Amino acid sequence: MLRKLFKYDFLAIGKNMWIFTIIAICLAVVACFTFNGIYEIGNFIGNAPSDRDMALGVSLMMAAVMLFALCLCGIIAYAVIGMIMILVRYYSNFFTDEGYLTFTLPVKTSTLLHSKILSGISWFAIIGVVVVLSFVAVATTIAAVTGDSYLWEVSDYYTVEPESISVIGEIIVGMTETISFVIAIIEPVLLMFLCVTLASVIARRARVVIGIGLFFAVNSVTSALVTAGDVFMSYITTEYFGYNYYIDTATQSVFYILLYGSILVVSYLLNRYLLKNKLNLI
Amino acid sequence: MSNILEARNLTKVYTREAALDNISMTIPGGKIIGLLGPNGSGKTTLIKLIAGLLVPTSGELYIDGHVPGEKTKAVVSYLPERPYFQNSMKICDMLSYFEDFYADFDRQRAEQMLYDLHIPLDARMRTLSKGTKEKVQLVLVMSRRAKLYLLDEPIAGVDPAAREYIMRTILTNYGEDSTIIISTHLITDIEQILDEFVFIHRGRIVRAGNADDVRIEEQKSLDQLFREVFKC
Repeated sequence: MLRKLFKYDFLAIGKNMWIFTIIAICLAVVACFTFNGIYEIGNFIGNAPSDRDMALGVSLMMAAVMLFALCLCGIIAYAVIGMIMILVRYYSNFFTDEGYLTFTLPVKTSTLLHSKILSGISWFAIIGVVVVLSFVAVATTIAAVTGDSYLWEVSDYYTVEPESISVIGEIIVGMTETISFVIAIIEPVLLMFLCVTLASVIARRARVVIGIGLFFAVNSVTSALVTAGDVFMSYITTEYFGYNYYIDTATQSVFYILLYGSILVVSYLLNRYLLKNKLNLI
Repeated sequence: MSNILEARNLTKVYTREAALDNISMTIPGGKIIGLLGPNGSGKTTLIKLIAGLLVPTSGELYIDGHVPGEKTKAVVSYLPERPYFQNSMKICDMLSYFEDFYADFDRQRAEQMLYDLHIPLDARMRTLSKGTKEKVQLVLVMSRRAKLYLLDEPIAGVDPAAREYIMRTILTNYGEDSTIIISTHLITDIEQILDEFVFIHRGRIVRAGNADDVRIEEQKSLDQLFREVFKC
């Protein structure tokens, strides 16, 4: 049953999202070409034979920069639209008239929730991959066109190499970072679903908007906790062990796992309880 | 025949008021029962509890010997008072959906009924009128070989000709062992098909019995009795 539910959910979200995904990929391609154009126009302006040519070049440059910015905004908008689509599907299938069919299917409430989580995470991952690859493509184009290596210098800046390589340290850091990465993908989807469920239980109108508001409120609090926790953990580990790449990185990941893992578990359990016991379709 | 439904001291309280107040009832298999009462009397709440959409505040409820859940939903076919389709879906998609999830769904029967009604299978839900949507929903619900059919206001929003079709569909498509609970306040239209009735008012059962007994012993139609009981 879970497989069937997942199929319907995934396809229902995909009905519109495939089109937006193709548009986002096209926007990334256009952004790459546009940047190339911006560079060429820059050269043209630098060697403009007359004021008239320079004015034309500046106008073209402004149009190209605007197009480039629009493309990047479009890719970000794609991510936002994707999240809204996942939320709307969840809300409409559970809390509008569709809920009368959904909740009378011969399946457990938890199975219904699992199908939504799986389809939500799948789409969240697809959106993430498309957005990241789009920006990587744009960044690579910028680096290739300009011939600058500053992008790689920036990434080098954030990669702190350990003074001595430890196999156990590498394994622990790898494991904790992988787990925290997986949790980072699942947690926002579960938290968003919980917020919409809560909004649907307590409010009669504008439930999706209230749900999104709740989500951002909880996220602001957790972000503040993460920042404070990062500083505190770094201080404690440095104080006790001196600076050690492995201990510092692993401690940070464990902190993320504990914080976001707790939110993930609470979101899942509370959502399941509410759907099972407090559902009230209007 | 064994009981398909048993409720003991069933109570459902919303935030401020009790929608159902200590209801106890037993419904045998193979009957058509009218759940009758004025608006806001608790009919829909009772049906939602039986369908597994609500959890009772207190009391016990058994459908085919089980508390409402996965098992009971497999034997209960529920027609809510509003269309529950995804507007983007086609009718044939809905048939596949029902076929996927309900083991007792008879697709051929559904297609035949839709053909009789001249409703094309490739029509999208959003293009259908309200009346046609209600007919499609009724076709889907009655195409299941369920043990218990819950029909919540099946004739409230449709014209008299459609009402006649709906009543005919209900009568010709349910199995002899199945039970139908029809909730409505339009008694005249359904009273000729009812075996039993339950009058419900302010969350309590005020009268229940055999429909023929009322007609023969009291020389009254259910509609007349309803008007007497619920006189304002």
